[in-house]
Amino acid sequence: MKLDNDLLTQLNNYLDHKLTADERQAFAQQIATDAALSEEVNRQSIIREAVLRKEYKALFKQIHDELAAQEEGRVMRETTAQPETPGRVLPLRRYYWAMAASVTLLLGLGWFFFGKGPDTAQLYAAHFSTQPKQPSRVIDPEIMGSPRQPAQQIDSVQVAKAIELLKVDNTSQAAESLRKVARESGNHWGRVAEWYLVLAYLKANDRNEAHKQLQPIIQDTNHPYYPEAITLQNELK
Amino acid sequence: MINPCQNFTDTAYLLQSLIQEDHVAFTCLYKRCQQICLPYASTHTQLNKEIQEDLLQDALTEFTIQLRDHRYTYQGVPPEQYVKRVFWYKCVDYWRKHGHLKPLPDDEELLENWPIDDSEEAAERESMINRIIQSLVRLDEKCLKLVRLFYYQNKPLSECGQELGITAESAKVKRFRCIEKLRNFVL
Repeated sequence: MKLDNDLLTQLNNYLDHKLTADERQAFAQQIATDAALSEEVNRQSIIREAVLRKEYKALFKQIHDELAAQEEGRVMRETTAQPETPGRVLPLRRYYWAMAASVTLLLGLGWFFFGKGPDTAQLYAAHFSTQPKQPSRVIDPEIMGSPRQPAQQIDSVQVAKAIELLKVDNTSQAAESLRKVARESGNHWGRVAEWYLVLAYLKANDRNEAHKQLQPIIQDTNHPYYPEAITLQNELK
Repeated sequence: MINPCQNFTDTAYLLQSLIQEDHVAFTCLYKRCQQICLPYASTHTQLNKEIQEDLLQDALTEFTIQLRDHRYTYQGVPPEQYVKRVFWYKCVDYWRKHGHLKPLPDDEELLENWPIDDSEEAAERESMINRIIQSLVRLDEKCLKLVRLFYYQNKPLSECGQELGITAESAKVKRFRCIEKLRNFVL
């Protein structure tokens, strides 16, 4: 038996159940009659299992960190939530004044929105999602999964933490964290951070910065948030 | 917080999504296993939370590889219950290896069906796997990437070359050399 690249590929496809039933059966028969090949199958299965363990362990560690960041955010939300003050009973005359003031305020706001375009808070609420898009996965059944680099794991946790900060209205800290990931990471999470940074600007009612931050996204048709960015660009006009 | 399990009420669909490496499916499985394994370990062992979490991640890794290798097929035991068995095995194993005199309480239901081979051959294989895991960190960055692309992602040489910015032919030579290095640890 001579080990070469073709045999390595065939061995890996066998171990990964990527051969057809007939191919698998024929290869299994070959293994049964060739001791050297059988030994190599064993060797390759050990190397393969070591690589898979390392990768899946890193994946579950990352999921653990993401869930811990979400939990941390939930606790923060609960502790920062203001207790509701009990409603006061207004005297009847003041009630009418309050009604009149509300109507005037509504009319004023209506004029403001019709004149100046949609509210950034509404746009933020319409586009914000607690679940960022995940890196695209290859759906070819011949190919399983995609690797996660250690840097990507850290970036995804940073993005998850920033989303939690946005949820608890800690916009400036969220924006700072997102800016860092967007600036320093050339991977998927750097791009996700770019989109959430747009949302952070919207939340801070900074229409100009949001618009500016949108530009690199709408110029990149492969950006994971390209469709959303185009929609938002139109809504901002 | 959105429930990662909201779309995975059907076990078959969850398993299919795990095979397709769906991140939300992995998150759902993690959450479900965390909910049943950690309280169990807390009441039955004195292992601290960090060790429990680490063993849970090991158990989930073991389950995922078994699923990928068709060694786990759904026959009435839901994945989280199966992971619980692997997890308990790992807890007991950890306890023994760390020389604790007082044994962990036996759980007949869990001990009846060890989901892991604990024979001598298996122990030898396990030690070789650990040796390879340790040697992976000694590979250079390109080698590590090629090994990952080959064994974890099952990518063809042309795509490996693209990922590394080299020709398919160079990727072929490089990948072979990298695997040779690892083979030497198992020879």
